[in-house]
Amino acid sequence: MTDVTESEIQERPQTPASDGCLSVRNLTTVFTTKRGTVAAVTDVNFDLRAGETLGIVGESGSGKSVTAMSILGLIPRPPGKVVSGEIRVDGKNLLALDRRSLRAASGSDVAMIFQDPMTSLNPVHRIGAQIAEGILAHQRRPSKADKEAARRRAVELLAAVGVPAPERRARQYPHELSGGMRQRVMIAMAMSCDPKVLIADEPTTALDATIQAQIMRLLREVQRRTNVGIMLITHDIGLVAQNVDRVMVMYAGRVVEMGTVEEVLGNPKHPYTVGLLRCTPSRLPADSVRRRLTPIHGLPPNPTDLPPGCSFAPRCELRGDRERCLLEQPELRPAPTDDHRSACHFLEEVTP
Amino acid sequence: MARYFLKLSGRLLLTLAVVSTAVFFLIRLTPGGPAVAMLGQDASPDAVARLNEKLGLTDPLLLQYWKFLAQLAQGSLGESLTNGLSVSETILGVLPHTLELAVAGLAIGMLGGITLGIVEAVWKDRSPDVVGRVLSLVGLSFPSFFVAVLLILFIALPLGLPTNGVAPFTEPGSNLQRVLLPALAMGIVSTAYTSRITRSLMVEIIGENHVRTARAKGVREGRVLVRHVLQPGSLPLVPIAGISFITLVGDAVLIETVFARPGLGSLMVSAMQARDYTTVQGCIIVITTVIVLVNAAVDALYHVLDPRTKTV
Repeated sequence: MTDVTESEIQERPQTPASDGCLSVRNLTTVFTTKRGTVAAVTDVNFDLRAGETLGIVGESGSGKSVTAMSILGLIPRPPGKVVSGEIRVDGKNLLALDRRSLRAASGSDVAMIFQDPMTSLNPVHRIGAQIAEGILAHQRRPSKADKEAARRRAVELLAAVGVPAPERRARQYPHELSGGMRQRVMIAMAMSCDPKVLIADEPTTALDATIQAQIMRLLREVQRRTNVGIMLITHDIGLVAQNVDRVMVMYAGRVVEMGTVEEVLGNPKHPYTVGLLRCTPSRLPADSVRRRLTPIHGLPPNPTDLPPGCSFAPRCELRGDRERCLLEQPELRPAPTDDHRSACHFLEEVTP
Repeated sequence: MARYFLKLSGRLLLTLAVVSTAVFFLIRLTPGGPAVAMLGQDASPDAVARLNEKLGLTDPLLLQYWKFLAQLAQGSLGESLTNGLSVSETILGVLPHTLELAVAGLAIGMLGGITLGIVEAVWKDRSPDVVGRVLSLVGLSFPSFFVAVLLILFIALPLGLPTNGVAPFTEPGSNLQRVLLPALAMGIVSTAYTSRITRSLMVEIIGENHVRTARAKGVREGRVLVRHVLQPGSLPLVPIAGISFITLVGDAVLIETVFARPGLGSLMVSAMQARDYTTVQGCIIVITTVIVLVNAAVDALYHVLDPRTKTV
């Protein structure tokens, strides 16, 4: 633990506040359950720069969404609690804010779009009103003119995310829109206050493939226009390969590998990442070795009963009989540069 | 719109036909009869037979049924077998008091129940929730007539409030004073029931994705509660209110007896005891009509409130 803190202190000057619009340090979030306290996210560190897209991948329960929810203060309390860490947006530590200031930051500094656009919009209010509500939530005692301006801005935002006939759409209810349209509405809503960070939690999982491509293109376009930093949470490696600058791989609540998308996907240095890539379908010809999908054997560990060493050790093909993996928790270390880091004791032996 | 009312009247007629037929035959199956009830157990069989003939009860059953239907078709509920007065006039005289009682009970039940349910849902599993749930369990286990007796004993008598009768609507003060306790007796039980439903409804909605979206937008918690939890949650409460109202009209039978209030309930109870067939039939028909109309109103309200059921 002490090692990490020291390396961070050295690291901080390398990422000055100006280009690191979001920086997360030592984030640990726990949930209290009947069977004891479960760490959903343990000691997570990462930075997101303006205009950059960071992909967060990992299977269900690996802590991707909990990381995102911790940033926005959306962890239900109880049972959840952020027990330590720092989440800085433009130098402001969100975890140190009181409720009111955190509310002011949600939506304006950090905005989020969710997996299921079908249920993420309020069914009984009009689209336009829901977008305007986000704008007005950040104004003190909005006047009638402010409300009218917010309504007009909502229409503009709808037009900007490619919703045809925005005036008419703004007056419609969510059930009158298709899934893709609703996700566009969610993006418009998220961008309504010019956030610095946009968290997209599996934004395309509930949509079909052609719409997925449109939504991702829209996100890239929005990013180009506004220079927003995007945190893209997904379990779709293909989506990561095409849309992100850097990747963070999570397993059992910890970051196991992190680096540029080329490095992590092209030259993975953690056995879990290798396993993930092996079970991703590719478009290579049928006789290619990589065409065959190889599943990772076993199941993720029970979060109430994490092994003392590397959480991935029980499923790891690289481990062999080595005791160290079972006893000692591996820390993220350069593999071999600071731009590509892996939490494997034997990362030098990892081959794709 | 015209089609809607046509469908509604069709449904009303069908329900009335079933209910009136059932009540016509069932009440005549009960032992005893109006003549015995009026003349007493010791009356001579001769006298009973003479009275029965006078009341038209010696006719064949199907002929009586036919006469009843013919009357009904003309909009008449007949005359009371015991005092010869027009049944519809008697009912119209007391109906406002019963409706007033049921509406007041509903208001107390919905207001109290929804408030309690929301408090419980917001503080789920914390002390307000636990206390509220225990209270509603107590409320559910007390029948309303028992609550009524408690209210008379511990509130009305010490405070010197009137415990019986009604006052005309032209004297609102005295009228309210006399409706308050019976309405409270019904409202407490209704509060318990409504709070349970409201709680589970709100707990479910609080966990929904659109509430998370609203919080992520930075909307104030109070506004999240009103616009994103209560507004979507109020829709299912509309039919609950309808059902509660119907239950309350039934409850009124007992409450009116306890508080000695003239009303549809007490009228029906005394008519039952006197085997006054026509009055019982009339009361049932009126109650059925009220229920069907309330249901129709609930449906209509739901359509107006829920944007998803509007035809595009």
